[in-house]
Amino acid sequence: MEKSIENIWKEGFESEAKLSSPVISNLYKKKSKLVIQQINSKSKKDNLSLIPVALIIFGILAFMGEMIIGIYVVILITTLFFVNKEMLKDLETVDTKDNTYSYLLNYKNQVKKIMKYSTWIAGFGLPLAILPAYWMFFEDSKIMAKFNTLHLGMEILIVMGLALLLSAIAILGYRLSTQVVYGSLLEKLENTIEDMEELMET
Amino acid sequence: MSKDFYTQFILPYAGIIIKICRAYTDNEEDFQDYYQEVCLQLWKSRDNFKGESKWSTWVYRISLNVSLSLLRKDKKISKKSVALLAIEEEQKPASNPFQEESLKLLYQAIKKLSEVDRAIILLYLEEKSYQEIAEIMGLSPTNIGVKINRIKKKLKTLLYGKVY
Repeated sequence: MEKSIENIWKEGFESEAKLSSPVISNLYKKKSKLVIQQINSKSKKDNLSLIPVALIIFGILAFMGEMIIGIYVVILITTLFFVNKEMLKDLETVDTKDNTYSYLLNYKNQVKKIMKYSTWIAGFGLPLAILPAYWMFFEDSKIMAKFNTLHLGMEILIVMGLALLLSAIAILGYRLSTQVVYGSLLEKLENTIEDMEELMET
Repeated sequence: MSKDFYTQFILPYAGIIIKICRAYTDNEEDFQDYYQEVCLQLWKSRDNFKGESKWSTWVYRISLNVSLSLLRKDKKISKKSVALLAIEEEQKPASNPFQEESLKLLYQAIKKLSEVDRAIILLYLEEKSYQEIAEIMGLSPTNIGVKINRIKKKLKTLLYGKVY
């Protein structure tokens, strides 16, 4: 005989031994996976976009007859691409065997580490690498001729000033672009961790 | 979230949360995420509870709101074809953990209903009055009555085949 749905519900739950609550520390799996997947995929695309940028710059410089500077810039950007690629690999090696909370924490630390390296590259490595390009570009120009007439101390001061300016612009540019591209995702990651911490206090 | 809050205001009502979250999820992983989100929202919204209704009604309301909003988000995500990251390529556990066969079938049938119909029938099966269901769902009690009859018929058809 057909049972009414009310009876199925009532008797069904009466005979269910226990409706056990999930363990708090290992939840938010799907939410975490999505956030991490988005960060990983965006950072890969972001890094890959360096290649067309390098080719465009090379094209422009070659068109201007500055083939050597073009090659130099391509080498610089390609190096940056491979350095980034290596750093991004680290994100995929974060231990997934732990519970979701530990995984997210480790992932966040790894992201922080990458951002620290990237700031260092932008602030120190980039000006150091770009200054020779400047030198190559202005080598036979009037500006360089005028520069060469200056006192050595003044020359050093100008180069240092230029390097500092480049460094500041590079760091600002890096922070700004990171905020625009990854800001909301990193906030999501942070919020998920905070939510889990709040729940785990129980 | 304080331990007291969890033991006093969530644990005794965990059954409600579980029953609702199960009706809106297809696998264990989603179920656990939904459960967690409901607990968190109950904690965050505790100050909004004015005591005008029973706490259990509040739990039903939050559980349904959270489940419906997560379900819509999930649908959007799957529409965008975001593939899940292969953190663990494990087989997903069964979506229907109930032992009782009839209950299992009933849940399967409930999951075939629309989101709102699912919510209404869950509240009805939990012996909520038409008035309470209407309050939670933001509909009129008469409308609820009509809807419940229609949903019950639909469920019977899903469970036992054509009903005349």
